[in-house]
Amino acid sequence: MPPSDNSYLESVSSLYVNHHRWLSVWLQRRLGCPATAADFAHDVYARLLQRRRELPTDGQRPYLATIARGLLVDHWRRKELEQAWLDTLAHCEPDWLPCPESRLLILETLAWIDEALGQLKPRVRDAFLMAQLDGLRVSDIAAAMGVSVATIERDLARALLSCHACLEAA
Amino acid sequence: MKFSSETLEEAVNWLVCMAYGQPTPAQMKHFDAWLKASVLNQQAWAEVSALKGRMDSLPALLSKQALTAAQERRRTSRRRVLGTLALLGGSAAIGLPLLNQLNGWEVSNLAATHVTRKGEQQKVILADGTQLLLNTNTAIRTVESSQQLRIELIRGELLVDASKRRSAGGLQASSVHGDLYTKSAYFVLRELRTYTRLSVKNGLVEARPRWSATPRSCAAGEVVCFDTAGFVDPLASTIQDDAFAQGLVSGQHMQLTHLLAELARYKTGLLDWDESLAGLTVTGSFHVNDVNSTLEFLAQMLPLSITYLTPYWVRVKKSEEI
Repeated sequence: MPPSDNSYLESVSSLYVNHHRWLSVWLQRRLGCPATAADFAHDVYARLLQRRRELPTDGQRPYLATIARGLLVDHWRRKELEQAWLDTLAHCEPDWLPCPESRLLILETLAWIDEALGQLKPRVRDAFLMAQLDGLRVSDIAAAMGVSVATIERDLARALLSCHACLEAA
Repeated sequence: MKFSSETLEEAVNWLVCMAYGQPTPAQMKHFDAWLKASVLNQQAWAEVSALKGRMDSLPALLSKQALTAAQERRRTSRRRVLGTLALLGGSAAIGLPLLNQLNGWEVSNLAATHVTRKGEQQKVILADGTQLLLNTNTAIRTVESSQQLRIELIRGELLVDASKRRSAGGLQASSVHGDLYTKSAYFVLRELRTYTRLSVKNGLVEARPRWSATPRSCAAGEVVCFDTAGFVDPLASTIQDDAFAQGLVSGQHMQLTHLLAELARYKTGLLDWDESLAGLTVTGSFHVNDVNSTLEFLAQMLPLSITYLTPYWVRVKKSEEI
């Protein structure tokens, strides 16, 4: 292993040794459950190891907290979507229920679309849902929203690029 | 070598043109030329096509329900958290623990002023004389001012009797799909995740879907359905939409599966059935306050077998016996 990677690993190790316990407690206050907090704390360090980052020499706890916050937001977002999906299944007419094997795959696809949509402005998001899920034509969406066709085409392109980016990152 | 981000953008723009629009012959020729021009273009196109393919594999209606429901939960929770922070004169540091306590049901209830659980109904009389009846599993938010009355239907079904209002101001009722305006009508509003259903019993109600420029005036006897984009065809149903005020689900020649779907709304636990019931119809009025008894009653009229898998999980099938 090249020396530079080794020193990065050492830096992450020292962050772990010095702050892992503090981070677990910080997370536990927000999650309520010690086991989940421990999992999350590990995820924070796993994230650091996934990609080489510029680690701070001081302010290390706020730095770790920022990463942890990001993971928490993703986690709650994902939980909200799962709950919404379960609700949808519960209210679904039995004829329309997807088979159990499909349900998980659908949820995964929905999760990255949901994440992508979260980064978009309301009009862009709505235009995308209308186009992709309602199957409306671009001209109809433009008419419904009172904007030009070119605007809707730009909106859809933006939404698709966001979906692509989220899929890449998943 | 992977294609550049410019190439990705070109591919996405082509996808919008080809898959979401109506490409002209000239555009199709242009696309063909772009595709042939470079193997990187082809790679980018393959990638965005695969993306589209994956999204196309989603069940449209269910996906839309789930995505909009998740969105709505977040809007409501953010509003609530900000409100609480203001009350506590608070700092951002306490925002996260509050979010932690909110699961799905609680989140969409917090903005509500009136809530019913499954099987519960609630009558409300507002200051201006408007009478409301919340049906099962419903949450609303009322905002009263001297200028107008606003009612937000967060979830469920609501009967609004504004015929005896003492106020000169207007009444606005909203769901996630759009807004309704009236002075003194009598109507039933129901939120069905992917669309909202309005049934006017008396008076005049103007309906404006969220994104539509054209509102529609609805008079007594009219039923309209709309989603954010506009008006949609109401699904044919012989079920009487205001029978719940008498604690009943009523109708002529109702599909049994539709009746069961309605009864399931009032029952805590799970009520399910299978396709063996397809085609069975039933006429009459059925009580909602004790769904299990109603099911037993139905089993006397129709060849049904009712199984209690657990005290809260009932399954209805067509009976095998002759």
